[in-house]
Amino acid sequence: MYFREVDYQIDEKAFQEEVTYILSHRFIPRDWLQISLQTINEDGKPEDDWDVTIGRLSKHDHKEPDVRYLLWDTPAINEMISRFGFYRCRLVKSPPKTSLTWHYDLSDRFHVPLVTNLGCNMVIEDQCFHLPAFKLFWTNTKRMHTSYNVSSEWRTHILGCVTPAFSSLYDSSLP
Amino acid sequence: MIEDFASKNSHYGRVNYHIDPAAFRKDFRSLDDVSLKETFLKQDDPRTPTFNKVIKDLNLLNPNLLRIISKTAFCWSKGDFSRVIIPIMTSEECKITIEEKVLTPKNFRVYWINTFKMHAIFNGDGTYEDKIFLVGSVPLDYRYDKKKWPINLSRRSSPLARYIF
Repeated sequence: MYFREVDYQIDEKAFQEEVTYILSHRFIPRDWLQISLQTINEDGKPEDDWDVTIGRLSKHDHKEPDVRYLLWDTPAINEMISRFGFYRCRLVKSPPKTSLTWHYDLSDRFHVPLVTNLGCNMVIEDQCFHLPAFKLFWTNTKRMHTSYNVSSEWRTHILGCVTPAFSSLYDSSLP
Repeated sequence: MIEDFASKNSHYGRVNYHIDPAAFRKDFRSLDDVSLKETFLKQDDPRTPTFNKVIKDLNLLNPNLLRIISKTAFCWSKGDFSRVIIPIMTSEECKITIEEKVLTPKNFRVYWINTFKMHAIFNGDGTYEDKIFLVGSVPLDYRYDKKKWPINLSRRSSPLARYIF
């Protein structure tokens, strides 16, 4: 099993309001695809660091676990991140009719879909699955994987890295 | 060939039909413009004898060349037809999902896809290389009773009926 739902109640209304709050800032471009929810600087400010860790990690000087400081005043999202020790968390948008490349990551990921449709799927190795909205999922992204959106709407979700300890709770392939 | 494995519950299957890669490539190169997402193949096009033979042998309807642009994904619409696909240019990163199953088709092999189930195709190749598939339809009835095949498509309302051989 390459994905598992995490037993965690997400406050749907609070998440929606907090994402709206993030997007209300004028320094976020209208064509954003990723927004950092955490930063590498303890005193980082959203206007400076909103794009601090987006894109390929090889473009950055820092490592994934370095991106651990909360960036936004979003209590519900921050509570989830802090409770599980997630790092390098981002708000991500996927355009309709697109796919990511077939790749693997250095760590497993969590996902919280916010806006999703049938046709927004993740594929890990030989398994394809849909993640419903406002649920927290662990995904085994150290395996080859991708995600695609064949719906006609944008998909929006929160994702980030999980610690090996968190992964060990869900990864049945580990001893 | 197709009926060997096709059933209501199959997601996909490999069709026992041999393709000559060199002849297939030659036919593909003979076409002037395949830059579109879908290039419909004309019936009995003299430039593509191998395509014509495959289409006829497998009784494919509405045959076309499908270009899957890098880092895009889409799904075929549902209808009265399932699909047969033959990759001409593909790689490991281009896959077809049918419900929870994942198919990685190989070049010049013939696959039947149960497009009555939720399905999609994506090109996750980071080299930005487009993929090309020959795609054709096979009617619903083909899955259930091979004795009914070929059925009289002229009675059907589908616009695909004009492609009957």
